[in-house]
Amino acid sequence: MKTYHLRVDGVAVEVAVEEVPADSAAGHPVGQGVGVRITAVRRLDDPATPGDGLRAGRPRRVDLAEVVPGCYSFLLDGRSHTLVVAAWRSGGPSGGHHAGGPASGGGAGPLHLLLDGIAVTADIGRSRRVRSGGPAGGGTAGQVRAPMPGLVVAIQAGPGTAVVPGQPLIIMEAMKMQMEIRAPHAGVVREVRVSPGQDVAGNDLLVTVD
Amino acid sequence: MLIANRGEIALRVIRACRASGLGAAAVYSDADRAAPHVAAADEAYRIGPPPAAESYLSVGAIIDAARAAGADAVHPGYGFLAENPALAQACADAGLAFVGPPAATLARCGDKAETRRAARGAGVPILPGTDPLDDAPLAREADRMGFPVLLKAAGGGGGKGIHLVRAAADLAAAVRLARGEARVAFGDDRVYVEKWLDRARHVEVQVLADAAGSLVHLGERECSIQRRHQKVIEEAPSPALDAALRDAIGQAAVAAARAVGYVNAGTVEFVVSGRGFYFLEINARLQVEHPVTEMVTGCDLARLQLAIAGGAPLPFGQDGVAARGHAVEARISAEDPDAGFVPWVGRVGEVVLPGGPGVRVDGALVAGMEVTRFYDPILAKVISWGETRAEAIARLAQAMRETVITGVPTTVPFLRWALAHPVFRDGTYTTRFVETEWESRDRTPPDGAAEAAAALAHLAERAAPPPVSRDGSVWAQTARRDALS
Repeated sequence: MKTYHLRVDGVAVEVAVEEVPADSAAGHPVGQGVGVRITAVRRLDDPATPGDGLRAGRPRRVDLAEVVPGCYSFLLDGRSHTLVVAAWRSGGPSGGHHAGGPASGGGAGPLHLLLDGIAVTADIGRSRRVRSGGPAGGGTAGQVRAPMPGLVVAIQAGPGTAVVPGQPLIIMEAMKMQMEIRAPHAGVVREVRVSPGQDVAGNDLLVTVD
Repeated sequence: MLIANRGEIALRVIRACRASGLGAAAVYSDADRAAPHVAAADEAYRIGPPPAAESYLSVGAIIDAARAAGADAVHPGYGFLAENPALAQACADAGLAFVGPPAATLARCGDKAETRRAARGAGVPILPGTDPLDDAPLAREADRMGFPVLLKAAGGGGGKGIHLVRAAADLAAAVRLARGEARVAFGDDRVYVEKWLDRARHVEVQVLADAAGSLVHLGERECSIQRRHQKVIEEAPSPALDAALRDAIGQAAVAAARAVGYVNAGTVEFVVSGRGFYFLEINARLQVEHPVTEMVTGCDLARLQLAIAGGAPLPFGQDGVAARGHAVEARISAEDPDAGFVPWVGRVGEVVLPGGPGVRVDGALVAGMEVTRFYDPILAKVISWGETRAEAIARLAQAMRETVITGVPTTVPFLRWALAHPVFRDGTYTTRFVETEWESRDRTPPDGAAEAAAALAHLAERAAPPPVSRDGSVWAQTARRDALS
């Protein structure tokens, strides 16, 4: 029996897991699949409420098998689901890696999953530290990051410029589509980290606004 | 036949060449040396470095490749030089047949103001709109028309340079972006405005015309499911038209195409609002979504294009066109629907494509291939056919369930969601579907999310360091790091 403390889409959850006898897990090469019984799911923000999907306290049978790298067949009480690890959202090596060598070694922070195509963020406890600098979607207020890999076309507001919320800071281009990157809040542009003509990767830091 | 394109459309034309008994020569930029269309062709010629402006958009390089291949004809595909009169003219000058309308017709269709006038002259209703204008008169005219307005590139197509402007205050910024995009994409920064109808549908009619003047339509396609003014799901026939409206719009399409002297395969675009329909433009090319028309009519449009370019008459008249059943197409692109559909580049991991009765895949998608920022992010199209609309949708929904692509985000999650949505299922959607339904969808974690996360955590904990996976997934990396710590 093992208890995992997770955050699923931001909600703290405690899940008790019991590995099932070997015969159920047979057929999985070690490291690529697992058969378990989920004996309890508890929302830690509201311990009185059983977690979503836990059926009247009955254990749920889970079987996970890797179909191809990054994609799992996920059987939940016999219902067949597809689970894809969205490496690109975590700044991993698959996302925008050739646009200038960003985020190398990525993978820290929460896992971004697609469960039957529905995006789920899963922070799998202590061992997944969120790196400072932040994974995709993170970032500190005032740090304006590239929403996509692409080319910096123009700088609309240089260092020292006072900006209002929504004011264009940078024009980027990808796939022949141009996009204005706007100020998240009012402030002064402290630093512009890119220059026109530069290739950037998704989530690269572009501008800091104080 | 020299195919002056890449990706799935190059492969589509190569297949048409095979069916017609013609040899196929491909062209490639340095980014595409290992691309599927090169391997699928009989011959292949390098046309330059990765940027399209120096390769797929280079008329000189295309003509040189056609000469080197000893080709008799050039098929431009869609995008790139397909609607650029310069390639059609260069082909004519070099004694090569161009698979498309003559240069003069392309020039006329490329000038949206002129096609609007021609359509109006032929009795086809058009939306209020302006000619291409400078910034100041454009702002005056937009004010007079009343917001919202749609800002469009006069030399444009493919959704590029199009911006919806809801208020006068947003016009200047939108004009700046549209001119910038249009300059890069078409080398022409002229823009104009058109009245925007909020609860409208985008319906287009496929036409075919031979050089002798025979002109038929092959029914309509419904293309209202769009993001960034680019289509993502299309179907034929349109669930919005009844028999009378279908007949009227088909006749209007024929009249508009005739008014510009159209030859070969083309598409006449309309906006439909209630029982009113308004001409938008003529797309002088084979469209991305042409397979839905092929699935219901049984025609091979690309092959018919080759025959028409070879001087053959249309093999059927309007009475010979019959549609059967229903077809739906889903476009799979490398973009992130969970982050505003931003295009993405990177290495594709694994690919599992669907199959089964009535399911067709037109793609150029290979596991491990690189998606670059130089070209459109489209990876594949999956098209389904059914005797009824419900059957076609059910088949496509299952196909999307079978499809797995790792390594880069794709539109597949959006497509799965859309095909199950009641508004899509009942056929009442409008061009605002993505904006009103997808952006405000329920984001509650699905049943099993916690269980899946726990099973992954448990797998990581018990696993020995797994072998290095081909896509170096975060999961594999995390598992490795944990095993070592």
